[in-house]
Amino acid sequence: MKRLTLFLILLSLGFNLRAEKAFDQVWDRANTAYVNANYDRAIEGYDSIINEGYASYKLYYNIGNAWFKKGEIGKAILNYHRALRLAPSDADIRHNLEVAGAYVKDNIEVVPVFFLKSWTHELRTLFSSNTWAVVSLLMLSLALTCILLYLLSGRLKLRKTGFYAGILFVVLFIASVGFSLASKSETVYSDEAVIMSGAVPVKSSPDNSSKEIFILHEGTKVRIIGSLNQWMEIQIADGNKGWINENALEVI
Amino acid sequence: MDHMTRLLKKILLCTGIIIFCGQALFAQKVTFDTHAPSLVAEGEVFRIEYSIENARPEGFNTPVFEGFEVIAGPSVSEGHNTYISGGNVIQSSSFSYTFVLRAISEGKFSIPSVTVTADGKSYTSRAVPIEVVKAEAAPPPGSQRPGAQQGSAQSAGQQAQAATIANDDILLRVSVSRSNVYRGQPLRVSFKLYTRVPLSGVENSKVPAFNGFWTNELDVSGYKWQRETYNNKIYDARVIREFLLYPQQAGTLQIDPYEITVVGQVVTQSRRQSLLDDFFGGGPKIDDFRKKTASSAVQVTVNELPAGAPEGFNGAVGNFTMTSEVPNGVISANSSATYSIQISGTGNLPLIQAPKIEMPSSFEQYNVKTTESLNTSGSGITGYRNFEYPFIARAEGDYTIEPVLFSYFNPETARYITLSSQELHLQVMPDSSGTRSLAGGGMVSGITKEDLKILGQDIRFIKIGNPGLILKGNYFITSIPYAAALSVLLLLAAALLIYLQRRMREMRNADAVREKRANKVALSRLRAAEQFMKAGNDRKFHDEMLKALWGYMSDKLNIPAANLTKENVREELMKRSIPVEDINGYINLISECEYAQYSPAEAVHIPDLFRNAVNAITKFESYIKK
Repeated sequence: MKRLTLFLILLSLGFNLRAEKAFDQVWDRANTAYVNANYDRAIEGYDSIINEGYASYKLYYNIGNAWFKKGEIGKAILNYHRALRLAPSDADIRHNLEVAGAYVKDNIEVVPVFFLKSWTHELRTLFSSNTWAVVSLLMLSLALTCILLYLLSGRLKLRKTGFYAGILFVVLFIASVGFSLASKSETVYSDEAVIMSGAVPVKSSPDNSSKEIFILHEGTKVRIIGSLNQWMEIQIADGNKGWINENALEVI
Repeated sequence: MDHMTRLLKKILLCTGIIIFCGQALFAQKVTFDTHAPSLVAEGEVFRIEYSIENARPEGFNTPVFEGFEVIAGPSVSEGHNTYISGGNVIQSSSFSYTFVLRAISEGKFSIPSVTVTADGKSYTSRAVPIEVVKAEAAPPPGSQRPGAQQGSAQSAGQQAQAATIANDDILLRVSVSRSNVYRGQPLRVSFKLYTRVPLSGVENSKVPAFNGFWTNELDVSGYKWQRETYNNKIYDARVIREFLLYPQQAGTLQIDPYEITVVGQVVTQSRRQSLLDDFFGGGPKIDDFRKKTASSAVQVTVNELPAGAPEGFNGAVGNFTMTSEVPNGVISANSSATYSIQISGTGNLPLIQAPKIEMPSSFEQYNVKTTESLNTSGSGITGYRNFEYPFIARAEGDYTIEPVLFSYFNPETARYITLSSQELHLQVMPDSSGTRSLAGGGMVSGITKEDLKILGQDIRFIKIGNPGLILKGNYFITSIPYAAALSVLLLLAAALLIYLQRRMREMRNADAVREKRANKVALSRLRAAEQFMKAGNDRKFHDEMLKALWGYMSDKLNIPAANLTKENVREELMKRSIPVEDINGYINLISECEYAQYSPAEAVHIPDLFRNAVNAITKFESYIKK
């Protein structure tokens, strides 16, 4: 059974091995350009990999670094967030995001969230969607083992243990599948975006002539809650809402 | 006059011979020079002089003055001067030949050079260019060289005549050395006074504020009164104030007028020609007058320094060099050392600030000491500015002090230049005095722990190595491999369940078969005993029982019948790890049978005994079989 799980993980990694072969050189060349402080060439190289439809947290992280070195805070933050989606617990990404965040002009007070929600979120962001998927398979294996133990064991003690552990692992399996799916939908149907323009007026309605409510600066993260034509309704961390032109932001 | 000087000469000569006879005379440097004005008006009568110092010429050939008429001369004058300085007798003498000339025609001429022979050597005076201008430009006859303050003025004319002051008789003109400069580039502003009347002084001078400039006044004692033409008129002119200005802001700056009140003198002729007036000093009278004059305002264009200033540029403009003096490569901890930097050259030196030195954080830095030596001249301030950076290294180790950078703007080439000192490698040795005090006084000098200092925040380095690329939008949770893994796991579990259940059932069946077989063996062995039991022959039954029980063990344990004892059997069975109660049960069974054989009176329940024996053998069959 263990051997089978290993085989399945390797099967999923099979994609990586093939992709890596093709972009190894591009990746190395872009990294060398970054080391030589040639950030334009580095970004060019990284982008060529992205344009082929591939992604990885290291890739986004390096792009973020290159933009940061070029002084483009908005783009750097956008890419760090993208990297964080793929590797939510990576300390380097969090550190760089914090450093880049220090350059963002907007200082928005974050509205506190219900503690269970924030705990769940923290637990979920321990791993990426794919890691949760592998964890779920592991949990399922354990649950099935326990169920077999319960069904087949002759001794009462083992049967009891198998029963309760089986229930626990089934719950954990469901939870990890849920986390994996939630992480996936967060990325696929992303409702978060980063402000890209230096200073953007936020309007009270999707109309150029409407009143400006407040101004957001490059690098600030917003949540998209609706859209109309080329206008996006956004909400910032302190709960304020407004309409913004879609060109001024980029979805993470 | 002539014989007076000759007489004087004789007297001096005699006294000289009498007093200083035999004493060594210090020979002074011999010079031969021509004194003549550079500018005269047509028809003007003026004086030139050839003078030779410290030598007696042997004859003088009167030169030909082309373009001039010789009115008088040469008249010879001679002077001697003897003095004692520091125990030495120093004697100087001068001979001069003076001519009075009149300019005949306009043009540029030259006072020719003259060669004389003195003490066996020949000396040649320089030729002096002289310009003759039109008659109208000549100064009014009443004017005199206004050189009272200088004491070296030559008189241009002696005639006294009443005169009024014209507006352009006294002028104050301003001149700037450059009218288009960079910010910080110095320009020289000279205020020159032009006059055609004798002056006795200057009052109420009002120097402009020079807004937007940093000002440095220059010494004007080097300037002398000179003749100059302006607007076709000959003036006596002299620079009276001069400033060096450093523009501090870009744009068009104005140098405001400089206002002065000049005190001049006019010679007035008494109108009343009575004898009495003459007697009481009628004659020509000298009156003071005051005249206000001001220079015009001047505009100066100040350009902003071009873009692209290097980092650390601090406004230094000019041309500089930098030298740095560093401590020896090895110092000991807690001792002081000094890093010094000297910036020398020409430019706005007083405004230069100490360049920044990045010292390691364990070095204690103290205030920078600045010393300077500056010379102000017309082209700017020249000299050096020395910065000393005292520091104390607190922790031992090897340190590198980054090169010090100093940037300045060179206005001549319009480029920024960055000077760099050398990188300094410094080895800080352990503090010898500190360890000694620890050992001697028994006192622990304060050890201070240092918090980790975050010197600067920067992003972390990029990630290298395997990029771990995956297709975008390809999530394991919703992929076919995941679904396959899930179903494989479930199927596997189900299959395992079915397989294990069947296997367990089979195992249970095998047990039943074996028990059946063992029972069969026991029954076959006890068949004879069973027949006696049914026939009711108790004695035979017990015999047969014992035979069967002993025989079974003999066969099973491979012990010859002769050696069979209860102890032997027990030992062998224990070796095969058979439960003790079963062994005891079997032995008891044998004992019971033996007992019953010899004492038939004791009633033994025969069928029970038989059943027990069948069970025991069946049990042992399953034990020993394995």
